[in-house]
Amino acid sequence: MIRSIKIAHVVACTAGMLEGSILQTLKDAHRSGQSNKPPLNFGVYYKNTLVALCHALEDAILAADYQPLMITAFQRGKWYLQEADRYAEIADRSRQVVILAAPETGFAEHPTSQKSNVALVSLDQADPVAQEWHLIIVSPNYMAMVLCQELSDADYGAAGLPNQDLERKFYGFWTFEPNLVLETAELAIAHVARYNPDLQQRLSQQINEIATLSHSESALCGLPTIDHMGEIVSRVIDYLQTNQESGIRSQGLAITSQSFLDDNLISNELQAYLRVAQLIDQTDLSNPMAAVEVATLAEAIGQLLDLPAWQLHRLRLAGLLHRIAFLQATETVLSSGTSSRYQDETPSIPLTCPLVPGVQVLRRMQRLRAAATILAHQTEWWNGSGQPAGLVGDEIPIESRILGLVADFQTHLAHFRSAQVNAGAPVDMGDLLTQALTGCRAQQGDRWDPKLIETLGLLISALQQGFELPIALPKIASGLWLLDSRSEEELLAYSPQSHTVTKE
Amino acid sequence: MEMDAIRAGKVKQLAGADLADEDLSHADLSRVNLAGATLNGASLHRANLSGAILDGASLMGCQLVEANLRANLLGANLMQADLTEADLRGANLRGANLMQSRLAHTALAGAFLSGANLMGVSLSGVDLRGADLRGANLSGANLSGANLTQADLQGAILSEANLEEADLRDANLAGANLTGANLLCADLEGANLNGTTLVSACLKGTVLEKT
Repeated sequence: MIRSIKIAHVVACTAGMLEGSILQTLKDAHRSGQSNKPPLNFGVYYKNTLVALCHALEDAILAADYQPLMITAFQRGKWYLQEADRYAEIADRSRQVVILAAPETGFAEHPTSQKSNVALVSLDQADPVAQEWHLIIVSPNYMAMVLCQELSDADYGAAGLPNQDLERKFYGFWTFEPNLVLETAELAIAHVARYNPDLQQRLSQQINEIATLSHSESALCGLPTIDHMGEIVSRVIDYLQTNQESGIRSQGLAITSQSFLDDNLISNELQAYLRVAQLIDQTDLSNPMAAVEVATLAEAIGQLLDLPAWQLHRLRLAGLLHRIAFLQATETVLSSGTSSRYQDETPSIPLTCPLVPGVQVLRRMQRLRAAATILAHQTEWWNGSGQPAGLVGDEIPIESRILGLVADFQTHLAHFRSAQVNAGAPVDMGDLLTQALTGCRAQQGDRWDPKLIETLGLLISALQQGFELPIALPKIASGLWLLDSRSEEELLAYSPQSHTVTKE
Repeated sequence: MEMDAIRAGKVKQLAGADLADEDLSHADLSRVNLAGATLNGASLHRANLSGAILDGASLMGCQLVEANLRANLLGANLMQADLTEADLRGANLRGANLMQSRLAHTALAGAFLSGANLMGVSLSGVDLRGADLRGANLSGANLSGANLTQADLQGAILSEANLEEADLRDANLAGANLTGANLLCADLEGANLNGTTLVSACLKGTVLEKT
């Protein structure tokens, strides 16, 4: 398709990423057509955000017994020295810590640097990795990483260079995806070879051991649970918010700069949740596209019902995040052997409105209040016998009714789809859609709003007649378009004393 | 009396009417003919203008926050209008002037904006999925984080535009001018880049791949 792109006078930053950097090497390995690895998607991060994000991901090591291998690239020794006291504690809870930085005074002398399980790699000034900021945490129960490189002076363009250190801009991404973290750790370890072949040998052995353990069925890096992943993401949200509240206003930042920094923090709060949702999907091999399919179908139903734009956006957002509501305790998951699959059994009839743990995690972000309420009530039944509040009929928020139905439909669809694939039969999408719809129709009037079943039926007919519904994975770094002033609305008024729910 | 009837949507023919500075907030003006009308400085906060005809109307400085504007606005003048969270999905804004308008969280999915003047406006984080922006002037506009998937930007002027983290998957950028644009971490997967000018554009972290 690309025939004639005019890039005649490459002046500023068209040169692209730093050759030989870890980010560039990883990106190349994921270039489409080169392999079956999905292409990487990058976002912009201010140093202000990266500090909070990395502190949160590092402090998770102090909160549980992960004993990880942690590799951190700090650019310069002085940035490491700012964190070195914290790193002493983290090293005590880690199997191995590796620091990559261009050496500066005191770099090697700090007591943390002297610890037996802390290894320093003194980067050459000319090494592209000295322009990068990485945090790579690998352990069977916890994998996370932040992978960034800094903009060059020319890249800032017309906006000009930042005045404050915390306004420095980076680009890259962060993630909890175990395979991607392992792949990157291996690249970082390979990079160590030119400086210290012995260390590289030792780290290679460690990473192999961790990789093997992380592929076991009980490894929590592939089993997101409320007490591990839920805690980790909650800490990320807290640290980003603390940074926003305390901020750096005292440092005399211009209002516009402050709003860029704040937007970046909010974007990353949302990213944290979207990345958990991504992990839930990726680790459920039987239904790895649930979030985006449910979001797309829910929005399409909303469009057929002529809902206003703000309601469609919150519906899409709730769809992308809907499986977070089903996160279970580690104990439950390990004993039952299921993760956060959609719960299909008939719920008992509660008289109170218990809190849904996964929804409570979402509530930490104010801007997700509407979405959290939608998710809390996606398990209500039309006849009032559902959970958590036993709402009846139109008492259930319309978005929750749509989402519950669409998620159930998608679960049926995924089930029939994998059954056909496993049987080696050619996938007949039209037939699958009919089967999934029949599955939902069986509970029309009991569990599902009959009007919505009708609307879903219309959508399915349209799809069977060639209507196309593009299913595009969310661009995780750019989710702010889904949030507006109504994102904070409470859809239902809660009475804390009785835990009963009344309409606003 | 007359204004009460207008607010209640009882007057369907208002072509060329002078309603400047009137308070029409929450009014039901759906399917009303306001072609060529003057609404400068009027308040249309949360007004319902769905299906209304506003072709060639003057809405300068109009307050249209959360209004339903799924309407015909061909060549309308919306300079300095406040369209915060207004619903303009599928609206016909061909050749409209939107300079200095406020467009925070304005819903513009599927809107027809070909030839519209959007110079220097902020469309940061705006939903422009599938919008028709052919030949639109977006020079210097802030489109950071905007959702432009499947948007048609053929021949659009995007010089010096900020497209940081913009989602341009499957967009048509054929013949578009992106001289000096900032495409840091923008996603152009599957986008049509035939004859696109990217002179001195910032392309770091940009996804530039065919599907």
